[in-house]
Amino acid sequence: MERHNAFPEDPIQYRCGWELDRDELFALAGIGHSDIDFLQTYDDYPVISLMQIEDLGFCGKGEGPDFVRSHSFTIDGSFPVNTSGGQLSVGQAGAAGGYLGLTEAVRQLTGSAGGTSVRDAKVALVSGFGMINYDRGLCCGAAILARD
Amino acid sequence: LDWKVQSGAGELISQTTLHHSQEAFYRERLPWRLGIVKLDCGPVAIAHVHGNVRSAPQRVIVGARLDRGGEAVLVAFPAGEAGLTGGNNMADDKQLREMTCDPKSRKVLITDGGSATGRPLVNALLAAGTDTVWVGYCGAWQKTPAFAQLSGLARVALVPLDVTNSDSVGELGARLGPSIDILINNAELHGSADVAEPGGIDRAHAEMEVNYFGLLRLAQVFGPVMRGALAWVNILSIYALASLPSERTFSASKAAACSLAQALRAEMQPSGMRVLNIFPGPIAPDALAQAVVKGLRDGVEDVYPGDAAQEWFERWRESPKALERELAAAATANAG
Repeated sequence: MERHNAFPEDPIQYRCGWELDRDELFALAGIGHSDIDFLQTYDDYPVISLMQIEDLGFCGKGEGPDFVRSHSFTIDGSFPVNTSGGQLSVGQAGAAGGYLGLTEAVRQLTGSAGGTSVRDAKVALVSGFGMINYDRGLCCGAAILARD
Repeated sequence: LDWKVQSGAGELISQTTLHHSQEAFYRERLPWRLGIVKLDCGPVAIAHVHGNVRSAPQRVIVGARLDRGGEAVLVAFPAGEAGLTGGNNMADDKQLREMTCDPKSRKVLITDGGSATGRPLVNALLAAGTDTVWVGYCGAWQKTPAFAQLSGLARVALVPLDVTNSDSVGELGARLGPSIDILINNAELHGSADVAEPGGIDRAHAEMEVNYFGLLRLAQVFGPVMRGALAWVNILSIYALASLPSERTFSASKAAACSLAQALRAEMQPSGMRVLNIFPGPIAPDALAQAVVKGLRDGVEDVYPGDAAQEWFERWRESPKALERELAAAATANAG
């Protein structure tokens, strides 16, 4: 899914368009949230990752803090997120940063993630966010990838 | 859409306080408040937040200011009468003082205490809470009542300065230059010379010596040592924009000074010192002095004080040719 300018009426950004498209995304993939083995979020800031976890429906809106407390995001955790360490670890490499999650997801699903592999990972959700325009990100996207 | 002035009223819906910055300017001035304001007129704006604004959500008034780099920025002030007017202790806000050139607690040099604007500027600056006012005097008026009056004032010090004399400018620059926060060049000669009359060329020359070369000498001496100072004010004239033919040599000298002042502004911008150009038309000296103080407080670059200057500036903005024609017609009418 890809959506631009999802909630222009919000005076301040606390969500983006994933919540409008997530049901269709999962329906097209023919799977549910519990089938996702790991998640790659666009993590320019920690709060942006939490926004994606909420808006993609892994928890309710505003339940992000409890979700963090009740899960571990490591490769062997209950909800692996940004298994390469993400941009928060490597920095924001301009436009190339948008491909970080996709590249890592492909590594995981093709068994080439080496010592940071998520065991038996078969299905990934990769999420993107950006086009920051003055006070908000205008664009969001998400894709579900699965190993044959 | 037509441009329309908006009140700036709105609600601060979010705020943050910077405790770290990659920018050297902010790093030296932390902490720094920023916020997001939903303006009543529609848009959402990111603004610097005045220290007197309480925590969000909060009603505010957003006003435009120039930051130290000369860029236009928005500042959220507390809603209510004290907001934009700078009342109470509004002007003492640390962030606001970084953007404006408020003369309160500053050290100011007025280049010519003997000119018509000299004493009114001294009065206005003292009323504005200036720490020290140095007032330039040249020998010619040392024995006048004005000199005696000024020399008796607290927080005022008379200093020898003749802007037509490079040595005089150089000596004062070496002595005071680095201590000055705000320099106000009000030295002015109004010869109104009819160049066809005997001595006309000499009077025009004398005008240029004060109005143009005076500024040039000041800029050469005080400019380099005042990098990092707050502001430099030039009292120009609305006739710098278009000639008033009946005062052609005065207009020409002010046009020359205006051009030089623009170059000075460009030169000073990287250092953060603001150059204010004042373009008065016919106006009482007291009103002009008030306009200078207000211009410093607002932190603007150009001021057109008084109704006449405002009207002519508007005309000039519509079309420089329209103002040229209007002033030509005014001169003809006067002559008739």
